[in-house]
Amino acid sequence: MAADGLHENETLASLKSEAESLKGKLEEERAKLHDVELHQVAERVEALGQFVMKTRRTLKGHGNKVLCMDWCKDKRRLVSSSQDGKVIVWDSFTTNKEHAVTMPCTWVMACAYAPSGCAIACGGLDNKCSVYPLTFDKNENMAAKKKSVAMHTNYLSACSFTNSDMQILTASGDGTCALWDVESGQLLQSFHGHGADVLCLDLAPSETGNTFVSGGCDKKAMVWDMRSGQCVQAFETHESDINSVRYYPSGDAFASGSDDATCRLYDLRADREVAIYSKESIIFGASSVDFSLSGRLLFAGYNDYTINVWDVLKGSRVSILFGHENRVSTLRVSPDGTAFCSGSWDHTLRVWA
Amino acid sequence: MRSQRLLVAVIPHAANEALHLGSLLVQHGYLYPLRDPRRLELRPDETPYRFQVSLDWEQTETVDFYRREVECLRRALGRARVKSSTCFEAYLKFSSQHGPHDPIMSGCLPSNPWVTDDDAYWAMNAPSAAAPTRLRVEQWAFSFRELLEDPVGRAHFMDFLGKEFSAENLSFWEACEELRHGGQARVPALVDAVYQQFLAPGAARWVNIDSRTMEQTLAGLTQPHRHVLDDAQRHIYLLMKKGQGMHSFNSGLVTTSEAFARSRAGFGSSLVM
Repeated sequence: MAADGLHENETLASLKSEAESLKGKLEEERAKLHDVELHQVAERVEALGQFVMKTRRTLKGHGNKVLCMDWCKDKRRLVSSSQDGKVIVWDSFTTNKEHAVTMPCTWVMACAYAPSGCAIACGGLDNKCSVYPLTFDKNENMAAKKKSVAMHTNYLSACSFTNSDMQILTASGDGTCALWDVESGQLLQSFHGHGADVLCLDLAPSETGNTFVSGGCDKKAMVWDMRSGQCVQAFETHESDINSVRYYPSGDAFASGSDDATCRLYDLRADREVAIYSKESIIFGASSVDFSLSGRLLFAGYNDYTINVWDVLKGSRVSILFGHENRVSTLRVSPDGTAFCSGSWDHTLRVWA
Repeated sequence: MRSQRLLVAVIPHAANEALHLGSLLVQHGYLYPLRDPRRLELRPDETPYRFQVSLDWEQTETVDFYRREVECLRRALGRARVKSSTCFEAYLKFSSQHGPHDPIMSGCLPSNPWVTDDDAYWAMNAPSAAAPTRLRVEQWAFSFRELLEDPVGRAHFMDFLGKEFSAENLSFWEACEELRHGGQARVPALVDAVYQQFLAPGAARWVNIDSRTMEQTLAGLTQPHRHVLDDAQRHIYLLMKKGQGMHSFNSGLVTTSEAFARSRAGFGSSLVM
């Protein structure tokens, strides 16, 4: 065992130092083409006027912390999940609850609406991602038709359907992401590379390729090729866990929100961080981020109960929204950009416009 | 391991259970016996042990982990990068183009449903609206992706291609999307259907792919999987996007938009937009 140990240690040490040296070279290459700062170019753009956004709907019904939410493509329905194990589907325009299911586990950290609007997916401490078809038959028990799709070896932190109801992408505390076939539960591809829990993911609005970005407790944001399972780009500039990642609407960049109290913008073509959204007065972590439809605004929910609205181009804060009475844990702009929804540890969801 | 007296209740067989659990910890590398390291067991004697993160687990995990990281970094170094100024110009252009289409930035007509409780905006912009608004039609010209993402835009483009006798390109692209994002069980049948309809020599809706891509695609069909048509799909996508037809199609959108506006006005609406 002693002889094997030495051999292993040599390979390990040389790999480690090779990685360090490659990282240094990569930083040099990235710096070469960085000829101007974003806020400098943005000086040509008109400043944004006064911003008035208010809570237009408050969704009450969860018995504990709201952990995740997702919009339906119909622009008004949404699904939310909570620490008490409940998953609720709402028509948020009328605030009516349309479906509710109680999961066998607590801490349902992830939920997603299927593109067809006919199913939802959710999971959390059960280490699984399950799909529930939505039925309008009042006599039918939603839990009866439950289908277990994904199986991880640690908690499920995020899930998303791809372009159809037939495939689901998951992120887990086991440090991996995975792509699953919904019908059979078959693992289609797994994504290894994060050095700690993966907390979030987002699919690229890509033309011809298929990529997605993930963020984790290793402070890294990684972009993956869904076909090969390989990491194509990685960014390591945050100083703490990355809680949320979201693509810029053109697909050329993505934003991240982190426990280091900053949000950042990374450009995929420039292959570097291009903006930091932060203020000395903001000291609590950002839990969730999303862009307005044109990508000019970045909405970010924080652990200090507030939502900050950032001018993506100029880098300044445009507005601060108060209302939640505990941490904001999840935030998504609606599919047609008319509003955004925030979920909080105060047990409620709010729709803002 | 020196025995320690702990002031807890005595549990029958606890010593055996403790030894068993301890042995597991040693075997998995959490406790490392300093003397005789080849005997991975916990012994009730004076043998010293060291507590550590599991040696075996860390070794495999870490070697693989760093190998992957090195591969990823090598790939990253090989990427072509774009100047920051070029990337930022693209943001400015995207932002100014899409600003008027961003309801939170620019409002929306007749009103934002969340603000006025009137859902007319959603009715007018329903996915399959018969007469899409001027703003919506304008967006079809922003990028090929945005055109195809809008079901009405895509249908309109399909009509246009039909007149140009190249509708099979879009149909082929749609079939490829179905393959890539559909259920695994349907893959073999779908691949076969696509082959028969679009790729086979003399196929009814044969698509014009360059010979190299066609050759590689046909060879790949012997082992059908959900990515087997990726290259062919990309080729046809670029053909449509950069084809001569696009210029003509985009130029025609103004007329199209006006026609939709007239049909909306014809149904008694006082708002022409």
